[in-house]
Amino acid sequence: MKAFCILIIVFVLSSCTEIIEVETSSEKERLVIESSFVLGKPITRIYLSVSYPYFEALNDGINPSDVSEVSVTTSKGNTCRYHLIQGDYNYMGKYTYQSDELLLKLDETYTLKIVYKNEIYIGKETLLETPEVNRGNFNYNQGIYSDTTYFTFFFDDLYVEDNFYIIQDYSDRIYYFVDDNNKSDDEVWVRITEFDYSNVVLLNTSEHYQKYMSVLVSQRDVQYDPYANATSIAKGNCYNKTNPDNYPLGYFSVLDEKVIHLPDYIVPN
Amino acid sequence: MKNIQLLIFIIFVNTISSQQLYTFSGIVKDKDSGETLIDATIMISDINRGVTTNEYGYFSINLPSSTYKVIISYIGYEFIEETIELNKNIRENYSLSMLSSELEEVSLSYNYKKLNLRKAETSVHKLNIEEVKSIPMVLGEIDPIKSLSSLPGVSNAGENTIGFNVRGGAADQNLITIDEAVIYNPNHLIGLVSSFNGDAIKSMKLYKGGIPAKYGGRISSYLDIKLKDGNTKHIKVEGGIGVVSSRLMIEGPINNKENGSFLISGRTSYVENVAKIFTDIKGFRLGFYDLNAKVNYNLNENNRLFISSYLGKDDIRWNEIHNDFGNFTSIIRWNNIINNKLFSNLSLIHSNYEYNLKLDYKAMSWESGIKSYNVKYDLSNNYSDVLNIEYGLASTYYVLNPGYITPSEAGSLIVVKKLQDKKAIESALYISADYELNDNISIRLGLRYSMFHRLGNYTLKLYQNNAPIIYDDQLGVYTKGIVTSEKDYGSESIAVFSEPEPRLAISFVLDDHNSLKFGYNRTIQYMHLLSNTISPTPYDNWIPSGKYIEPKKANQYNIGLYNNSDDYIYSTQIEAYYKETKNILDYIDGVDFIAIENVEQNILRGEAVSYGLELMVKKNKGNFTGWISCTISKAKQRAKGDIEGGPGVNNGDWYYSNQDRLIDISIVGMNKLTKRWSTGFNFTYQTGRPSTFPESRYSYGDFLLPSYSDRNTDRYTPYHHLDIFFTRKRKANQRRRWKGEWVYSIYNVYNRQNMDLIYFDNEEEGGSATKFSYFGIVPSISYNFKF
Repeated sequence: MKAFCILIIVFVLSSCTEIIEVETSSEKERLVIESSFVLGKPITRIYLSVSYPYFEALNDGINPSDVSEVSVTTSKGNTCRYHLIQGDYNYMGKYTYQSDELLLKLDETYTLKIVYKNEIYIGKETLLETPEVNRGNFNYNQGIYSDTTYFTFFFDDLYVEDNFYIIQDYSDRIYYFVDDNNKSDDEVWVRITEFDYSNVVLLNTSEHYQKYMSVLVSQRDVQYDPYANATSIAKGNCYNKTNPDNYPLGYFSVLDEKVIHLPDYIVPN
Repeated sequence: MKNIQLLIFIIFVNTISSQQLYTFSGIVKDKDSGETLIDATIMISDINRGVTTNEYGYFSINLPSSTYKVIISYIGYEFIEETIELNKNIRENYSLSMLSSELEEVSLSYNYKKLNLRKAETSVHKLNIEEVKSIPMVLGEIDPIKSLSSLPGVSNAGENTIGFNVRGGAADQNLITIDEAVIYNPNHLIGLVSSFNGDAIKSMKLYKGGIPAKYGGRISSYLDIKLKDGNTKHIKVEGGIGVVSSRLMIEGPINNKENGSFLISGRTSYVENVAKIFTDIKGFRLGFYDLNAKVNYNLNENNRLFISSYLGKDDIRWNEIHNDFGNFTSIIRWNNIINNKLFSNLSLIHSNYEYNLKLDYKAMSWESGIKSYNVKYDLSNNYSDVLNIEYGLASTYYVLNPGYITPSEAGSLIVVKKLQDKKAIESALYISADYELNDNISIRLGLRYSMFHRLGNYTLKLYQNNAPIIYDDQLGVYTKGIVTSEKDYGSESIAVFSEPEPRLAISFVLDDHNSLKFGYNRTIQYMHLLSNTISPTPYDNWIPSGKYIEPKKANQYNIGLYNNSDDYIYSTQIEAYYKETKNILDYIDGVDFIAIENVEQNILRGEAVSYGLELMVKKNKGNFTGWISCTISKAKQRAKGDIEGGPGVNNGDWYYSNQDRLIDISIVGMNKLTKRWSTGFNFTYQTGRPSTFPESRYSYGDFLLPSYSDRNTDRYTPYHHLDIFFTRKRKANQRRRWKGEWVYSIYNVYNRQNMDLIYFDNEEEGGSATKFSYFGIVPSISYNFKF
């Protein structure tokens, strides 16, 4: 809903946009944690970077000498250490720490530990199973105002408790957050309208991760919209054990990805 | 407490010791239209006592047997002066004629617009509809709601925002009624124009404080809009053609006995068609309409019946998204003059606000809304020449539909889902006494006792430690509480609240031109609007107080100095206020309230405080009239997390509310240039509203993201604009019934690009801030007519 009403008024009236300079509050450098832990992939990676002043270009990121430990411990107590890899893996101020020793398993909980500038950061996440897609089809809808192609797919709701699904189209960075309206008995259906006919990824995530990503998407996309949610701090699942006020940004995600290859389905003429 | 006892004792002694009293009563009307006049003054000049007519034009005063000189007057009308022999009860109706412009120049102080120094009523503004019409608004629309922000202590969140803010209160803290029916969304086109057709409005009265005990349910203000009853003598037509909408009103007698009238007014927009001229954008529709209908009939001398209805709708479509929402109200009122001393009014009111959304791409329809059924019985007893008592009761039954999802077409995959209806009953008893202690001191003492039942037939989640929201110490975030079970409340009430709401106002007349007034009021609000968006939206949810949500409670103190200049050309009022509010709703970071069943999992309880100094200087007489209003104020709030645990919002510190405006200045002027030409202007300046800007940025995945600072630690740039208008009336000709005028207006003359929105872009080479202004300079033209 949201922005469209404003768009109309924008077009009609003498609205105007202008890039301006504003003063922002005190700028605090925070550690940013990101992970690539995907079930079935032999290598798991942790990316570390830092936040930087809003109006400045990307900086060089962390100083690797400040990082004294990156490790992940499984719920059975096995600890795996991560090491900085050199070369092209470090870009956009991010430094990559990787390991090929960790074998991800469903329903296992992983605890991340990072020691950065003598402060201990902890993150914890459980790997949830993502269901396979049962079936899918394209629909072509000739609307009153416009014509649209939809892709609708179905999958089983795996866990008895609430599940929190995310659908992402990597190429366009479009995210869909599935809610209860999409559930019919034990089957979940999803209808997407924006895709590039390549791959779409289905994820079953923790409630926290789904909420976190929806806030991030709204913070990324907010424009012209007075009815956007009020801007706010987005905190992930990592915390600073040594100095809680110096909380980190980012999220330690551990995911089971189910890739939907759209060319496998018949596209309408 | 002792003071209250003393007052009751004084009233009692005064009453029993008084001699035989007779009642002088009647109704005051406009001579030309038969329309009753609200707040007309009946002055008993020999003893310096007076009363004003109530909202139905009725007055009544009890006096000892004697001969009196009485003056019946109303601003802008010729007054009537006569002598009455009061040796029995007298009932007399008066019809006043409008002042001609020649007479206006030599009119006496009775006719002047001036402050009522004597009445124990504080923080009240009456807006004359002619004044509203003369405040130029964007695209030439008459906007009673936006015009309120030209008053001290009243602000809005800039262009295109719904509602208004009074003394640091949020938009949902204003009770807005139109002929007593509650209006939940006072704007069309998401804030571009108001829901009310200015032509049909008889009076507007805004209580910013000193709210009489008769009114309750909201903590910040009460906006009382009364519609015209309709011309009892002639058929009259009035209308206007503007850039985005046109309006038409027809009023007239329902028979030739002048004992009843009707009024129908309507308005419709064509903004969509105008938009298409400027752009080739396809796939949208944008429109609104509203309709007022009203009939009144005198059953006999003592009984009068009113039936009225209001319907306002917005319809917005954008490709596959259809959105419509609006208010519908219907009211039946019965005025009964029980005896010379006792006036009563019984009202039956139905209000309905609906919000509908249809998403074609999901084949889904969404409905939500709020319905209320209200019965009110108010009595006014003119006990003596110095004491008037009002008392009554009211009860409202609410049915809130938080959301109903259905498939919108055959073959839709959408499963029907209904969020549970929430039901509640809000009731109140009140008594209020206006007492003139002596020539210099008047007191209004009131007590409202309100009760609220959150009704059952609802399944509620129960939480561990009764905590629907808990704080995760490690992650530093609030999360939903641990659900232990569910309880089906059946016929049992979920929660019951009751609270006394004392109200007090005292006026000390210092001399003929100055008075000092003090006011205190305690107000309770049981219904709350959930909103976590930058501006209030048409789809924000109303929720009742209940097991997890306490009623808001406010205490407001105000003191004011009021002055009418010696020649009555200027009037000045200076007021200071302090308001504290408990149990305001604050929200956890990032919450979206659409389609949420268990809202309590996202709410933190907070408190608010606001204080300020307001000045209003008004020039009431002459070719040039207008006012300057200036407010210096602060509005802060905090949520300490003392109930939910954790540090609350912003570490539990006070932070600026969205409504905080340090400085708010309005200057409004109207000038008659010639008999045919007049001009006017409006200048507004407000400190920018608080906001949350990013403190830094970072990269996560492919995203470049802002990292936001604590809530509302930054601020928009100041908001200001100057608007002017010129009106050219058709040449006067007594034989011609048709009266027309062209209104040429320019909104935002110096093309100020106000910061109506700000958004932050993120590119690798650096972040940037972009401000968005809805309106630069906007010229417009409209034509108004009546015959």
